[in-house]
This record gives sequence, C-alpha cells and structure tokens, in this order.
Amino acid sequence: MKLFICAIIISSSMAKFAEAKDLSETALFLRCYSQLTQTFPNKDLPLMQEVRAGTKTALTACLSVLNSVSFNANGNTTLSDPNDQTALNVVKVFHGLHYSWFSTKFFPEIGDLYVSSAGNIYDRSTPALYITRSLFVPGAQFSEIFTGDNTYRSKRQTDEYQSSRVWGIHAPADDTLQGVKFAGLGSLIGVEPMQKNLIHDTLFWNKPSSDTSLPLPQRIPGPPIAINTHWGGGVLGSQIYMLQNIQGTDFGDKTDGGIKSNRKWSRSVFKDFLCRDLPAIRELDAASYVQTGSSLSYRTSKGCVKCHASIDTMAGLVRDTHYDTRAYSFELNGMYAFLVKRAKTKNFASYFPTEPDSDFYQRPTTGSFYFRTYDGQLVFKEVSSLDDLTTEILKLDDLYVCAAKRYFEYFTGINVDISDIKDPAHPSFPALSTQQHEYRDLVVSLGKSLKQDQSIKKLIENIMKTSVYKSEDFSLSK
Amino acid sequence: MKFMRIFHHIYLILLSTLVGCIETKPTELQFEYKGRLPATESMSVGKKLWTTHCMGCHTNSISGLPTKIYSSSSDINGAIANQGNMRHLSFLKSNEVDYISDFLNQEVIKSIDQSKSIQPVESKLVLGTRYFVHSKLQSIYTSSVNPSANAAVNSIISFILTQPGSFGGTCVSSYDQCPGEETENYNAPMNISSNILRSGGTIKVCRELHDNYFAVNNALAYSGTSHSDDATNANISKVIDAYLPGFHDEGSEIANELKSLHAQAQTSGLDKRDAWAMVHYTLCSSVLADKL
Repeated sequence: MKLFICAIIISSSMAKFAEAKDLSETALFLRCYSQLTQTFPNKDLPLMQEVRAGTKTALTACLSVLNSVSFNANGNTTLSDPNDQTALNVVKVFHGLHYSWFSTKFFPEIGDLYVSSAGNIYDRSTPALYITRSLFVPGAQFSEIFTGDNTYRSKRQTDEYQSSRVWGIHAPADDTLQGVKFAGLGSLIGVEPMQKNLIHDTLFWNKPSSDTSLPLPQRIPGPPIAINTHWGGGVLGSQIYMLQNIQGTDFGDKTDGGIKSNRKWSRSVFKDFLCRDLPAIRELDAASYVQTGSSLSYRTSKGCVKCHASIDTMAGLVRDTHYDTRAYSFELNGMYAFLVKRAKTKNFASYFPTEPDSDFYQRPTTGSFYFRTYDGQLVFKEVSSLDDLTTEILKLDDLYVCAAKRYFEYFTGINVDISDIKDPAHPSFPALSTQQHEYRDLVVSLGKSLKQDQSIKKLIENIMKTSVYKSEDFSLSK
Repeated sequence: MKFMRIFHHIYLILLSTLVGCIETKPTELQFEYKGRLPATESMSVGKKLWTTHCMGCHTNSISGLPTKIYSSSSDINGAIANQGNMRHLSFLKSNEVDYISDFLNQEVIKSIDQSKSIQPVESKLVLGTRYFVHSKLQSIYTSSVNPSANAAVNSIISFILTQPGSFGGTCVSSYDQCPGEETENYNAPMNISSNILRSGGTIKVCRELHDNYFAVNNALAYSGTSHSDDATNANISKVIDAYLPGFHDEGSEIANELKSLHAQAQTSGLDKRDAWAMVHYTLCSSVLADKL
C-alpha cells in the first residue's frame, strides 16, 4: 500500500513539469521533432546527439528536418527519396493535420454508393492535398491553394491500388472507368496534377455472367463521363471538395436559390478556410435582407437571414452543379457520380431571391462575399466566379490568420478566437481578457507574415521561434 | 510477480482516475447559482465530501485542471450518470450530493468571482499522437541486441496504433491502421487531450510490457542502467531522461520520489530488478510523459 501511495504522489508531482519556464534545448528538440514527425527522438538519433552536445540548437535541428522535406523530384511532384522514413513521417503528419481541418471528411452517400465510389480514384483527403502541396512543393505560394483549376491526385507508395476501395472489384481493369488510375495505397509521397477536364469513356457488361442462356457477356461502350470538372478558385471549386460538400439529396437536384441551394458548400468554405462558424456577419448587417412577406421562412427574420445572407449568396456561384451518373450494368463494375456544370440558358436575376426561382440553376453564376473580418470590418463584394471570390478573399488577412490559428493550435494546443469579437452577439463581447488578446494578436501577426511570405514552412518557423513555443506550458512571456 | 500483479491492479484503477482528471485546462468555468441556503452542518459535510471526491479533478482554482463545476444537485447527479470520468462517484447518496451542492453554491463561487479577471485561454495539453507513443515505447522497450524477442513486445505496443479515437492521429487512408467504425476513427483529430480511454490504453500496454522479461531488460538498457544498479541520483536521472529527454533535473522532486519508490519497493521485498521495473512502469504509464 505504501508503494501505491508513493506512485500516486509521483504521478501527481509530474504535473510540476507543467510549471512555466523555458524548455531546455533537449526538451525543445523533443517537442519540435516529435511534432514534426510524431515519432520519438531516439537517443541514437544523430540530431538528438548534436542538440545534447550543444553543437546544434533545437530550432536549427528541427528546421533542418522540416526544410529537408520537399516534393522536388519528378517535376516537383514527388519526394526526392520516397524511402526516407523521416520525410514520409513529416508528410504524413502534415497531410493528416490538414485533413483534420476539413469539416466534411467523407463522400456523402446519395443513391447508394455512386458518389463514394469516387474514392476509387481520389483519396478522400484530396482537398487537404492542396495545402500539403503548398507546404512541400518548392516555391509554391500559399495563395495557390485558392487559385486556378487544377485537380490534384495523391501519389502514394503503391501508386495504383489493385482493387477498389468501395466495391469488391478485382482491378481497375474491371471497372466502369477502365483505364483511370485508382487512388494509391501506402504512405503519401507526393502530389500530382491531373489532366484538366478529363472526360473518360465508360464500359458496361451487356448481361450478367450468370445468365448462361445467351452468349458470353461482353463489355460494351457507355457514354463518356467528365471526372474532374472544376469550378475554379483552387480547392474551393475542386471536384472532391465539391462532391464532399455540395451534398445534394437527389441526383436530379436543381438549385432554386431558396429551398434548394448549395449552401452546405458555402458554410464549409467559411468554416474550413476562414475559421468562422455562422453567422459570418452581424445581425444589423442582415436587416436589409429581411422580407416579411416571403414564403421562405428564413427570409422573414434577422436571426435566420444573418446566416443565409452570407452562405446563400456565396452558393450562387456554384448554382450550376449537376450529378452525372453511371450505373453498373449487371456486374459490380463500378457506379459513379461526378459533378458537372449545367448550361446557362437564362438571364441574370437576383442571386438572393426572395422567392424560389425555378430558373436559378440555369442563370449565370453570380453571388457575393458578405463577411465581417476578424477585426470587425464589413466586406461586401459581388462576384461572378470562384476565381473572383478567392481573389477577394485573398485580399483580406482572414484566410492567412485562419491558417496561422490552425498551425498555432497544433503546435501549442492554444485555440485562439479569431472571430469578429466586436460583434455585440459574440460570447466574449465586450472584451477578451488581456491574455486572450495577446495570443490573438500573436496569431494575427503570424497570419500577416504568412500573407507576406506566402510560405507555410516560414509560418511554422515563425511559430517555433516565438517565446510561447519555447515556454514549457506555452505561456506568454512576462 | 504476484506483488506486481496486485500493484498493477490497484495502480491501474487509481492512476486512471488521476490521469482521467488531467483532461484540459479550463475553457470556461461554468457556475449557476440556484439559490439553495445550506445549513452550517451541510456546509461542513459538503466541504469534506468535495475535498475527498471532487476537488482532485474540479479544483476550485481557475488555473487548475478540469472544466466544469456543476452547482445544483440535479446537475451533479446528471454528470455522474452521463460523464464517463464521473461515473465512479455513483456511490454518493442523494443527500451527500446535496451537501456538495450547498458547499459549492456558497464557497466555490467566491473564488470564481475573484478570478473573473483572469479569463482562461482555451487550450489543451499537447500530447503526442498514437504514432508518437508507439514510437516512444518501441524505442525504449525493443532492442536490436535480441531481435527475436521483439516480436512479442511489438505485438503489445501495436495496440496503441489501433486507437486513433483515444490517442489521436488522423486516419487519412486505410493504410493508417484505422480499424472500427469509419466515421468515428476518420474523424479523429490530430491531437487529443488526455482522456480515460487513452489512460486505460497506456496502462494496459505498459502493464503487459512490464510482464515481459525482455521488454523490461530493454528498458533498463535503453536508460543506461542495469538491474543491479543502485537507485542513485544519477541513475534515476538516466531513467527519467529516457522517457522525457531534457526534462530531468537531478535532485528534483520527481527524481526524489522515484528514488523513494525504488527504495520502498525493495523494503517491501522486491528485488532490485522489480524495483527498477516499478520506476519504469510509473513513467511508462503516465500520460503526462507524452506531453510535448
């Protein structure tokens, strides 16, 4: 019993490790190396020995690990040494971290497995690849995450998985989309762009193999299908981000700007890239959009409109989505649904209609970005594409501050509030504590530096250089 | 070994209770005054019950460990019924819960009022993910000297990798060893604070490791000590440094306590090897040793 009491005392006293003081160089190396690789720095690790010997600082050692990881081979798509276990660990840590930031991590199940079958071709973590690419491709700008119409595909150690992840298909050759590479298996070793607007032929079986009353079943051509239609704006309009976040309820969905809207997607944009839960504006900003006579119940009160005024108007930019589906014929040779664009055959009308608009889905893709920044500035911009939208967003600090907040939280455990704290409806109104402000100011400054440097590696370096990071309990310097 | 088994059982229960408390720093101390007017007697009893059963986790200091302090009897009963790390308090009688509630309403609220000026920052302990813990245990408990013995040790340690929901580490693809419910594990965050399942998982693995002769020998060797060594300050520091590189401070309180544990183990009839094993076990099973 004495031993037991002793053990309890020891466990309790281990909390003393949390006392505020700066870490030793060895302990700081343990922290940064472990966070970069999620592996324990074994005593035989040369870098650990150098830090212990005082021939290298912890920060120098850790930055050498981070900076040595680069997708600099094969046209800046692959790790130079795909067998370097430390590099594989770093890539895995950061890609996993990026993936964890997305509010939707799955393919929705609409009409059986049509949409989730996209997982045969694309990792479910494909949206995170845009950030991972920005981190590891030499010279890649942070803003590239949000620009252009590239579709990225992960490169893994086994680059072509030999059976379907979703169906029990033996090999890609048996699949409806014959000839399309399946998503790979194993550690992530790189990111490669796919051919734009890839349209692929489909093949079906003409009868079930179990039917012996007819000649042997044969594969017959089916209509081609576009597998990576892109709406622009980088990750926001990429096929997988759209598939995961549009979340239609039926393949025949047509947006009407009222009852049917792709507002789940825009809600995710605010949350995933601006770190903002709804509402993204203040109640007073919504007042002019209230229509008491509308048949749409959410248009009749400020409480509802303050969310809809931001997400519905942004969703107008992706109003033209349409699921193109291919069902298997007789055999389990894959069924797919991808999002494609509808033709615009109608003229412009309000992108925030007060009544459902039956032609909404056929009108030009217009919308707005309606948002209060972290420091309370109201932003309203009318835009007509996702490229326009991200151009406006990239002008602000918020996108960068959001990224800084997320990395800062990973490295310190501190979750900084970067929402519009001047909003009278904000839980912390009228003021954050001094300590909360200081952390927030630090994160904002890190975000502004990211905007300037456009480098995630530099952001990580800046975080590791803060006194907060060097402090044992991540406290602010006194 | 019989003693070790007994020790393991008791230690497992109490350590899990302890580390279960170390969940997060306070995000928000919530307190709702519901207007009960306690008698002096109930205040006294309530204070005693609070100190005995509650304060370990719900310290009344704003800078202390977990999160919420419930004030009404129904809130407390609800928490005991529904929150995993409070279920062990289900033995409390309803009048005892009332006493605790009375005490909280009158006393704890004062300290909360006083500390309003120190708004807590939302934060959580930064603990290594399952990959880190797995790698740490592998470094310490396996050896290149006797690789044939590693298979059994690796088998014990590999349990950690199968617990993304408890230890953290996102599941991006099937390659990431993410068994079980897809939606549960694939939503696992990168970092997870200490939780009762993590504590239990760590204790389970450490217990099995310390039942393995080779694993214990490997841990001793990794720390640069021998089973026949005395628990000198230098040797205790070596062991701490194996688990927490750079944290040890020779002659520190933690070092002295581990030294004392080693001495008491020997006084209780354990040989030196088992005494060292107990020191290693304490470090192995503490979730705080995963703190980065």
